[in-house]
Amino acid sequence: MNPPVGVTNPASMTSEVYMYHRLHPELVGQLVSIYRIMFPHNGVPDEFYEHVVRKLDDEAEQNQDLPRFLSEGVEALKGQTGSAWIGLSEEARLEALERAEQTPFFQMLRSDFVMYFYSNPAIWPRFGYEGPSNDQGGYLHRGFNDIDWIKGEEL
Amino acid sequence: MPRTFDLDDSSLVLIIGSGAGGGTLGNELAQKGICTLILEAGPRIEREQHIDDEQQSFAQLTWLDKRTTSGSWEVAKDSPNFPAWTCKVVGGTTVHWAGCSLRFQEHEFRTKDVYGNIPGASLLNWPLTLAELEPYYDKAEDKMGVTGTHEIPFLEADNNQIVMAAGAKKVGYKEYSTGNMAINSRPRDGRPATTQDGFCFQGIRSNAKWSTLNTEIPKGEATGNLEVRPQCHVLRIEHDKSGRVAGVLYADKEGNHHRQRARIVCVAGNSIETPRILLNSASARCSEGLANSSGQVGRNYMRHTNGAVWAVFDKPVRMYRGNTMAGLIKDERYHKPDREFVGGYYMETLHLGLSFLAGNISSNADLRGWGREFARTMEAYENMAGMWFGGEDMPQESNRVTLHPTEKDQFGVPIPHVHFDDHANDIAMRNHAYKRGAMVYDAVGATRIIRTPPRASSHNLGTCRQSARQEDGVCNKWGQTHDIKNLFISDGSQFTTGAAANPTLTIVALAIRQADYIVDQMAKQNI
Repeated sequence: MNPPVGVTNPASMTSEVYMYHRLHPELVGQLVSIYRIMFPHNGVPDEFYEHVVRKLDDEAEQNQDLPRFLSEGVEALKGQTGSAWIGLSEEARLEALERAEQTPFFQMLRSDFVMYFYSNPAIWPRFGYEGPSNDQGGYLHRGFNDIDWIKGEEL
Repeated sequence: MPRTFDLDDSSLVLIIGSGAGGGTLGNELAQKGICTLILEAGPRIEREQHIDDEQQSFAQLTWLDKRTTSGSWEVAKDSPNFPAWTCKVVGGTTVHWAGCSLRFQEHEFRTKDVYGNIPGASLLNWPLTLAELEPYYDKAEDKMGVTGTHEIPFLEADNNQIVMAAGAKKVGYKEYSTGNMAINSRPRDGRPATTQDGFCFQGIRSNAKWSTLNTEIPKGEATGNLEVRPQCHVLRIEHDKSGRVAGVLYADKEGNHHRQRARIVCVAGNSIETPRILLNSASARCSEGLANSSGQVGRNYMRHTNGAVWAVFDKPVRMYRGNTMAGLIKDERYHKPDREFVGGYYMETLHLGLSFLAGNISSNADLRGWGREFARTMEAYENMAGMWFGGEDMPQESNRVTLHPTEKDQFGVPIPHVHFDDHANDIAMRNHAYKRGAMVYDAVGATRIIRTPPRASSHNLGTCRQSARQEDGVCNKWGQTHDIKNLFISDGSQFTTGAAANPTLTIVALAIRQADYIVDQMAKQNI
């Protein structure tokens, strides 16, 4: 994975001024902590995870039952001894998620993350994806065949 | 100048759909002086508006109307309301296609003879031979500017293909190249050469790829004989007292209904919508749907046996730079009786952007779509190469498009239900392809291989198949329905069997051939 170079002004870097419409700040923090266990990209700041939670917040504007659905989902993520999510170790959190894998709550979080995290242009440079190309003349003069560890004679 | 026709003009050839079949047929007829109207369900989105972004482009171009599914295929579990990745725009799925333009092999027109009795498969020989279609393949390749044909140079290999070709060579494959692509390798037909932009699935912004939106349709319109009417969703085809079709009922973008008369109707709505329209056109005279005296409308739905193989390397590949599928291995396309399956398949490079790759590898059972391994795999994006493989799947009568018994769409028409079970031959071929794909990448040092199952297909075939005998299919070797002389099937629905090749070139060749037949039959006053 690349160092976070070239990341300028991602939409998700304005979290300190972002106002959630429906989701309580405590719930937001819990969802971010869940996502960090589900999709552990070390070195990626929380803001990128929060970008996905904001999409959930947007969905909550249309679906008024969603905040409760999410809170109850978090509430149900307990350790085997019944401890709440917030007090669990990283290992116990992973185990709690494993147990919840088939629940609608988990499945919704998972599919929304895949949908919104990796489609955020601000995250692309960290994964080495350069994104739109037509406005720059495609990749014809920008390395479409620049692979250097396979020698020409192998073809 | 584009033409505008009256609703009560009964001299027209009316085509439903503007993709590879309908768009090509429309231009061919217009060039021959036939007044032709194309009704397209989707909007007209010119190429300047296409978007270099997977999610946004998907929302812009895709047929997203609800469908339901059942059966043992992965799609019924992974995307139960989205069985097919096709487009709802002027140009149809040629706006999204990658450009792979391969001819059928000779034996693929007569698989019942060559493959023998395959339990559970409804194999049938085409009423057509390769020799009969060859002149039209020539015309189609010339029209589309297919690389490696008509002295058109091949495309240059991109990073993804350089990796795949090196692996192919190491495992002893002989027939690999950047493929026969309807993407300009040099300026041709008023369109520029490729810029290796990497967004072949997202439209035609660079104008290097052939699609009916940027070639057939404007050329047809320039004759003054073609009208393309967008956002007109055909609900029913109607017939007169004699049983001949007389026109269609369609809904415009405001939902208002209109009756358009026609002399001939050609259906090219892709293999789910085409049978849906015929089935929804049932009448007192045709109680099981139009052109369905055989009961074959909607049956034998095929989608190519397919899957993807992703490989992770120690060093960067940057597969996303370059054309999406311009890499081809042809060695496995043959029917080899010593393998554990009949028919063959092609391997083609495939890249996805970060977003769609995440969705694709989510369907890998080991990665489960979350967790440490999933995250680690995504972090290897830059070092990944990928291929898709597609091969002949077995037609089965029970793989079928039907009208949903209760659910209706925004126009009150029953939504389509798609049932599909994998045939044992499909599974055996797929497993073979996974192994061979992994071998190719292992040969050049892959550290990990990720296989992903078949997903919503862009190759949708069968459902109104050509047959020599009326009782075996829906239409004859010209795509003319057995039951109704002035009703034609003009898309991949008419495929008797699916062959290994990507279908578009054959759809275009059949459309050119059908246009000749329609003009001839009109001149003879037969239709």
